[in-house]
Amino acid sequence: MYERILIVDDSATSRMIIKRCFEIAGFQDSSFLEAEDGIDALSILEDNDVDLIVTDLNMPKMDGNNFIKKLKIKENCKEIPVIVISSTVSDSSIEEYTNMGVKGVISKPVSPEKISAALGESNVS
Amino acid sequence: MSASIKKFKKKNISKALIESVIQTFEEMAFLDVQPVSDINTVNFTQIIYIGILDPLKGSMALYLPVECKRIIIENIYGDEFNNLSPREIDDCLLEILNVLAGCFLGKLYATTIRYRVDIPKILFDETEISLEGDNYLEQCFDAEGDHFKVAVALKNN
Repeated sequence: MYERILIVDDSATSRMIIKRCFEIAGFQDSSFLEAEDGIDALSILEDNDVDLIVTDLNMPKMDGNNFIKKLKIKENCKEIPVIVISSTVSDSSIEEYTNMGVKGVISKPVSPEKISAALGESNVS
Repeated sequence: MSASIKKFKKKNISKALIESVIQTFEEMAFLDVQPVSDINTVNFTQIIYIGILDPLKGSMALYLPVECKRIIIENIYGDEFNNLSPREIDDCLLEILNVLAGCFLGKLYATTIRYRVDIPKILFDETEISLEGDNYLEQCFDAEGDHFKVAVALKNN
């Protein structure tokens, strides 16, 4: 379903782990684009179509919160489903991001099971 | 719920710290770690440090000796330590503490409170950081034979 996935996180380790978890969760045939922060991600989205965006919150230059707000006002991006993956997730922040139209919120450390649950998938391998 | 650290007893902070370390290292690095006492020194080679911003001010530091660092990174990357670049190694350490700090705050506070941490950084000398606070706690851990230390300092509001 999600053939092209954009992962936005300032940590290369985190991007590697997220990608690995997606592959284990059944997305081994998906292609992955990576961005270090919101500015980098918006630049990538100018030239690339993606089916899903996965973003961290605590990033330099442009944090996840501002990145999501920018996405939601861009005509070619506002309908792309977004998953937030962060180390500082609380119930209040989950509610906030859900109200912003985010598809799911996952607390780090990420796992294939958490990804499947957030996407409403059941294809963990 | 008030974010005043005065409401927390030291045992609650200790419990949150121990549980978050065990969970983070198990889920990220597939390591079984257990708290230990009576460790006089941890011969660390690096300090990974992160500031805590909300709902209170504080900081956390992870003191790692070289063998611990090697095992953790190899487990996370699934590759030999010597095959990894210094940048990949540093990034991995920073991410561990980032996740650990968030996990710690999540266990310390009710989940209705928002919390924030700073961007983590790597240091080589304890003089570069200040971990003094109204509530200071350090705890050593055994990671399958090797030892490391985590310290946290929280300031009263």
